[in-house]
This record gives sequence, structure tokens and C-alpha cells, in this order.
Amino acid sequence: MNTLPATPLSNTANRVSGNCLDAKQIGSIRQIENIVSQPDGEWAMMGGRSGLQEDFGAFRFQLAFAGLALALGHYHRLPNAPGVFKPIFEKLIHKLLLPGVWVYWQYVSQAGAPNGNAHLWGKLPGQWDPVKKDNIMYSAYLMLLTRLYHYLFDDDRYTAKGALTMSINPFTFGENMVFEYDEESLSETIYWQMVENGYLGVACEPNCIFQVCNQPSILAFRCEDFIKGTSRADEVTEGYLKAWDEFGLTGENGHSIVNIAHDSRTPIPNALPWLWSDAWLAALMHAWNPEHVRNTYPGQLEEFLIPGPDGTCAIRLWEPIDLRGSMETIDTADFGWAAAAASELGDEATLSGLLSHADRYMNPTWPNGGLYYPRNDTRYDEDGILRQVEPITTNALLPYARLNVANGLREFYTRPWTSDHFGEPLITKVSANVDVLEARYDAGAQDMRFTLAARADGAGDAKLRIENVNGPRREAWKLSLDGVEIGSGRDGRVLANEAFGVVLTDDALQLSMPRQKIGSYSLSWS
Amino acid sequence: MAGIGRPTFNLVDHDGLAVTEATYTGLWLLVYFGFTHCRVVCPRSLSRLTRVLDSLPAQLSAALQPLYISVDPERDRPDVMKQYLEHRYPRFTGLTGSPEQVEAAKGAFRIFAQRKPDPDDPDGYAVPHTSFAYLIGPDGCYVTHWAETRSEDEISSDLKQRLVSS
Repeated sequence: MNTLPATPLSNTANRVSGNCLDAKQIGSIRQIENIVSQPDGEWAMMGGRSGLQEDFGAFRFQLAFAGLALALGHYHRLPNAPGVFKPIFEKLIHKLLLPGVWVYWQYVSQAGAPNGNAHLWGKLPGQWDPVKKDNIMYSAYLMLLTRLYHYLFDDDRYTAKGALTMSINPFTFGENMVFEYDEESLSETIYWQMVENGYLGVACEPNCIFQVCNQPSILAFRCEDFIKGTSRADEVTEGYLKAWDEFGLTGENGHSIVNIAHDSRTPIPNALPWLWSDAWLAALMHAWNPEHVRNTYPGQLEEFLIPGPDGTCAIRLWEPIDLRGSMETIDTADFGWAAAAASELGDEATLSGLLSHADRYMNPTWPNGGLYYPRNDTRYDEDGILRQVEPITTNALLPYARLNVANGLREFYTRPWTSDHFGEPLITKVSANVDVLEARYDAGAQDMRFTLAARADGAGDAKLRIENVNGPRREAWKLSLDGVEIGSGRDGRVLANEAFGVVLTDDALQLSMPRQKIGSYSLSWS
Repeated sequence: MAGIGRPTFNLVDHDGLAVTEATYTGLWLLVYFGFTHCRVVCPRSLSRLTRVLDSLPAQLSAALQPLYISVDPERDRPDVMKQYLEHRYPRFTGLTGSPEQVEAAKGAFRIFAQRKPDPDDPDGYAVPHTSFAYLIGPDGCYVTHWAETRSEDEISSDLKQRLVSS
């Protein structure tokens, strides 16, 4: 039994204050950075049990929810440090476009799933283009990450024609296939399918419209509205509620309807039931339909919570089911989704209980500074303790739970950043040998506090770029480390302690800090 | 391709004349899908769109043809549509056709409409439908659409701006 995580490869523990990320939050960001920094085709720490990219072992889900976790972390915890997140986001989107992530669609598009399209098996030709029709379980996530990127970093690079191109040119079969999209064409493709389906949603597998995978579309439309000043998310959510009124969002057993078999308009209830389905929906739908979620989810969760020692708690997993004569389970990440939902609903007892359980029983390690709970296919140990860990739990969902705040997605959805935010001082570049624990600008005090911690596995000076140094009411500035002034400037001139490299170029400060001087800084204006 | 591209249709107007999108070449089209037995959505939308149309200067109004396309061709024959529109929404020309023709038009505009039981309807069914107002340009290409969530003022302002700037 593990009692506490191993020592993180960072000195973050010494720097934690009220507004600073703690070691596990930093380790969560680092874990995401680690998995997306691998060479293309290397999916270490990401392999799930099925390997078919059809469950939560699928790379797309890990990449997408890791991105949403980072988005929440940026928005709530490090709002003035886009430089921490933007490079990771670019890699997430790059990975999401790789064929190993989406070629599953060629076989899944042929149907045969028992939850709504078994009768179509053998009747549908396999499709290669993963975006054109259905497959919202891929397209929505691509739309979400690119819209998040555009909105959070005020960068429209994915609106360029062909900026979202999926291609495959295999050696041993087929032909060179190229599917070109961009932010706008992707959004239009999804939107018009929603319209055609009367806002019920877009299908994942053919004929199967899941509630869960349409939630990321709604979040993406909301980001689109933030960017463009439109109201597409309101339109879609209003239509969604009307369309689902025919079936109800929850079934007779109190659990959320999983999906609709579209041709027969048959609701597929969460009959087993599965916690992952309820928790996933709750975590995301809370953004735009919080009353419904708060009325339903706590009761749904109750059936699954297992109290443990010392305030820990765990989740009762679903038992293997008979799938065409074989008893099967798949990666559904019930534990991880329960943690994500608890973070969103502000259920502190459940959240801390689950995270404590993870730290105590799920073998936390710190490869390359990332907080990693290794995959474990053992459901329960001999003492009945939950041990199962799916890759998405460690790579996305526990980071999500740690970086989110109570009502975090709801607040993200309802309180968008304005142009004022993008005019604030922003840390836009961060060298790879340092973690950012805090970065927040107080407009009233005209002060930006940022706290850094040297990575134990890094070396050399830390380098930072801070943009928007000049701005309304921001002229003379001074830079302090732990309360001691180390530099100042006015009218383009810079005076700085010679131990530090401080260069002002146009509107950006470029800082170079000796490793022993990495700490808690204040950049203030008068 | 943005939106719905260049939607085509082959229908019958409420005077019984065969029409296609080419019939209206050179005019802006304001296209709305619905059915005459619709008790709430169509009356609300057609009333609202009529007020928007009433607010247009005559010169702009003359360049715009409002069309009301039925999603209930079995009941909405041309004479039924004419009677419905002439008394209540005379700015609109009704279009209908065979079920196949209507289905094709729905597909061209990517409209959702599906018959479902309705005990309050004399015939026992209703046809819930997408309630978009589409604006089609004089060249037959999709320009924009307004969902029901858009306010009357927003639609009016946007429509005028687009007509004036053309």
C-alpha cells in the first residue's frame, strides 16, 4: 500500500501559498505535457485495455479531456500565464489529428454496436473521413480543443484553410486520403448535423446519439460565441432541451439516458447502471444546465460511493457484461469521472476522498516531474480495495479534478474573458526548466504576481517573456523578487540588478533569471 | 462550404404553379419551413417575420420574396396554403408539393421535420420542425439564417444591413 506520493521532481512544495498551484497540480500539468511531448506514434502511458480506440482508453478522449483540464487550469488558476498552456495545446491538437487517433472510424462507421445500431451491421460501408458525418465522439473534441485554443490564446491559426487536416497515406493498403477542415468548416459540419437532427445531437456510432458526446459540441459552440459574438450555444441548448423532452434526460431508474437509437427513436437507458455515463454527463452538462445536474447527479452517485478509511472513498465498478456471449469490461474510468464531476459540483468530501484514495492506493509516481498513476487492470485487491486505473484517469481526469474549481466549467461557460484580459500583462513564453505556480494580474493594484519553481530535472537560467508591459495606466514599472526590487523601467529604459537579464523589446519584457533566484515575483506599475 | 450552399427545390406554389429556385432568380428569398396546422411555432414566427418585413422600406421589400414551405404536404395542398397565408400572412407565398418533393427541399435546406402523434390535433398528428428563417441571395446562394432564439430587432437590423449593402 502506498501512503503518499513520491517526492515530486520539482521544488514546488516549498513555494505553495494560497494562490499557488500545489505540487500535485503542477505534476498534473506536467504529466499532460509529458504525454504530448512524445514523438508521433509513441503513446507511452496512454495505452488502454481494448486498443480499439472505442472506449475511454481511446487517445482522443485522453487528449481532449486533458485539454479541457488545462483550459480550466488556465482560466481559474493561472489566468495570466498562457505561455504555460499554449504550447501543450498545440501538441494536443497535433496529436488529435494523427491517423492513429481517428482511423477507428473506418470500422466503427460500419455499425454493429448492441446499443443502437446492431441491425445496421453489414449495411453501411466503412468511412474514412472522421468528421464529415456522425462520429461526434471525435469531431466534437477536435472542435472543442481548437475553439478553446482560439478563445484562450486569442489565436486564430486554426481558422486557416486546411489548418485541421487529417491524412493517411498507408504503405500496405488504400490510397492517399486527405480530409481538410478548419475551425469554421468543422463547426459548420457539426452544426448542420445538429440542425438536421432537430438538436437531439449528432451520432457517435451510426444511429446512436449519445448525450455525453454532444456536450463538448455545446462547449465548443460557446467558445465560438465568445470569439464571434454569436449565440449558437443558446440556440443549440434550447433546441436540445426541446428535442430531449420527448425522451427525458433521465430514465425511470433515475439515471441519465445514455443514447437514442435514432431511426426507431428509442431511448437507451443507463440500465446497469454505469456511473461513468452519469458522472461524465454531469461534469459537462453542469456548464449550461446546472439545475438539472444538481437535482439528479447526487442521487445517482450515492449508489456507487464506497467509504474508506481516513476520509478516503472509492467507486463501485460495474460488473463485466455479456457481449455476444463473452463477459467483457472496457475502460470507462468511473473513478476518474466521479472525481471530475465532484470537482465541478463542489462536492469537496467526495473529491478529497477520491483523490486521497488515488494517492494511497493507486501507486502515484513522478516520471519526468509528471504525477502519474500507472495503469492497473486489477479491479479490486484481496482486501476489496479499488485498484483499477485507466490511462485517462491519470492523464486527464484526475488532472481535471485537481485543476478545476467548484462550478468551474459553469463559470467558464457563463463568464467569458473580455478583451481587457488579453490586454493585461501575460506570461507568453516559459522556458522548459521552470514551473509557473502563480500568475495573476490585479488590475486595481496594477500588480502581477508570478511565482516560479525550478524543475529538479531542468538546468540553467529560467527565461520568461511577459507581454503587454505597457498599457492603460501602466507606464513606470518595477520588478521585485520576494519583496526586494531587482529592476525597474520607464519609457523604454530598463534598470536592473546585474544578476538578472531584463530586456524590454517593444511591449514585452524578457527575463532571464539565475536558477537560485527563481521565486515569487511581483511586477507592478505606477 | 459555408451553411447550406445553393439549395434547390422543385415545388408548387399556392396558386398551383410549378416553381423552382430558378423561378426567383434575382430576388432575395426569405424562406421559412412549417405547416399550416402548427399551433404555436409557425404563427409566432410568421407574425414576427411579417413585422420584420413590414419594417423594411418599400424599395428593399420589393427585392425580397418571402416563402413558406410546407413540411406537411399531405394536408397542406396549394389551396389550403393560400387560404392560410392570404388571411394571416399575406406577404408570404406558400410552397408545397408531393411528399418526395418536400423531402428533397427539406434535405436541401437541411431541415429537421418529423411527424409525431398529437392528441390535440384534429388529425392526430403534428410535425415539429426547424424554425429557421433563411436568407437566400439573388444568386440563389445561402447568405445566413436566423434561429428562433434571435430577437425580432436583431433579425430586422441584420436583414436591412444585408439588403442595403448588396
